[in-house]
Amino acid sequence: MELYQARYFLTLAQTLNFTRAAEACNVTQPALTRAIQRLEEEFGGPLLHRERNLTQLTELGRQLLPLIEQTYRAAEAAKAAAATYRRREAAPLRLGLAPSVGAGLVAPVLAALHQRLDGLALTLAQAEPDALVESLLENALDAALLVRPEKLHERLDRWPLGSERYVVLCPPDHPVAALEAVPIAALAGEPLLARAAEGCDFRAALLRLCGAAGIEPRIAHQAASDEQVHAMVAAGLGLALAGDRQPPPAGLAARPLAEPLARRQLLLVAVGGRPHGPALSSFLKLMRSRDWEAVPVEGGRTEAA
Amino acid sequence: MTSPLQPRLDALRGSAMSEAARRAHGALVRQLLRAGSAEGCLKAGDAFPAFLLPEAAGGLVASDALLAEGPLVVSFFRGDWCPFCSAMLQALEAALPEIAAAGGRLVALTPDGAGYPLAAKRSLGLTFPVLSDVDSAVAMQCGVVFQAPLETRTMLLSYGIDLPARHGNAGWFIPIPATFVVGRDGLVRYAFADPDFTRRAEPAEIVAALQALA
Repeated sequence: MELYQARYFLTLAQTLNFTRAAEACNVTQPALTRAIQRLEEEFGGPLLHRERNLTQLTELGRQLLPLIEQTYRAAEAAKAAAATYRRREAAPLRLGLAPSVGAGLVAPVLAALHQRLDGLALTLAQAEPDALVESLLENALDAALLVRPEKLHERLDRWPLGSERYVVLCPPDHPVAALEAVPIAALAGEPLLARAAEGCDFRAALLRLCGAAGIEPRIAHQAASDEQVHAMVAAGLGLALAGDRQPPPAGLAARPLAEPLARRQLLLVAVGGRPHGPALSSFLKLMRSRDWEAVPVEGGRTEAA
Repeated sequence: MTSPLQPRLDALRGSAMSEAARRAHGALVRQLLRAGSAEGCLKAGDAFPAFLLPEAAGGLVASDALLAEGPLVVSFFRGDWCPFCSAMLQALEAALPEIAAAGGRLVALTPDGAGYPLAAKRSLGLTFPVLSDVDSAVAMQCGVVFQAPLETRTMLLSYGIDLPARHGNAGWFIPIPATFVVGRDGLVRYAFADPDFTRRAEPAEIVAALQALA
């Protein structure tokens, strides 16, 4: 498949009219038709029905449309990204993270971007998942990292970033710190700490995991941020959940939850069908090429499995 | 002098292919020949697309930066799930000293992401950059991308090889495993693109193409 063939097909899929498509692509109609025929030979079937005045995509055409579009857009974005790099132009990137997803997760990727893109201008935002999705759809953000929700807006492209194990944060002299892995049952009766926001994944996980184990969770104190929660753990006010991809806050111990299902899936999302600017294009590629199932070791350092 | 690669690939075709793989191979080659796919690939004299791609170990590699140092050998491969790709990559690794002596550098591009390029580098002992051509953007610009036919998809799935998971997209698009030698001016000087994925550019020819640029 060649770039021009993809462009002709995508234009034709939009106009559903050979004459207008040829005009839009600045070629003769026979040239357009020939290109579509080559594609049909390559994909092994007709891509369009031609019935008198009506042109429609076949089932095959409908299936292939999003796939061809994705690769075509990727090629166009790649051209633009290479040009921006070459001309050292400004490359803005607006990235949103859910509060329970630490920016440390993307630090190596940001470092790689910064090393190559002189014009990188990064804006990091933090918002609850619903607000992140809204911002993405309104084009106030380019990409977001969040915990996989039950249902994600259909306009969003999504790529898995592996799973993260839940850990219990506690003062180093707490009995839980002596355990290699903490069964949920150990949380029964303990004062628990969480952010007040209902959408907070660590809060929701606490409630869900305790509920599944038949334990009544006692959220004794609440805070507005993870940093505040950690300060309360350090002050001995109770236990909190965190993810094992982040090193534990200074002075605190982190012990993984024993239950195998005590994991959460992280997602990278961007709006589908929207052209990717050069910084976004490179950011998404870097994120998608990494091995996110790297095994975490003591202290939060990771090494690739 | 590096030993010829094709005899080794011919032997693999005899020994490493199951019945299903052989049928899939035949269907794939027929499809590409019918569609004239190899004719649309970049040729000598064409400009090679400038690219900015993630390297297996995590950095971003720019073709501009590489070409500033000398000519570039760009080798497309499908993935280390393909024994012919693996054999080719190891032959290129063995030819690295001669490639370097001829003033050239080498990069390999794959549609794989999700840590697979790094795993391939390690298991095959490769020291040259292996780049993730996410969504086949560069392969598309080179005219070497196509959709794996149904027989290939079915066969791969039966071996537990899930290209959509490796690629991060549902297309099953893979490259014709072409090799290009690109001069410092960004123009293609040598192009090898065979619809038959069991046939690859000979390292000796690649080296000769580099030497011709000196």
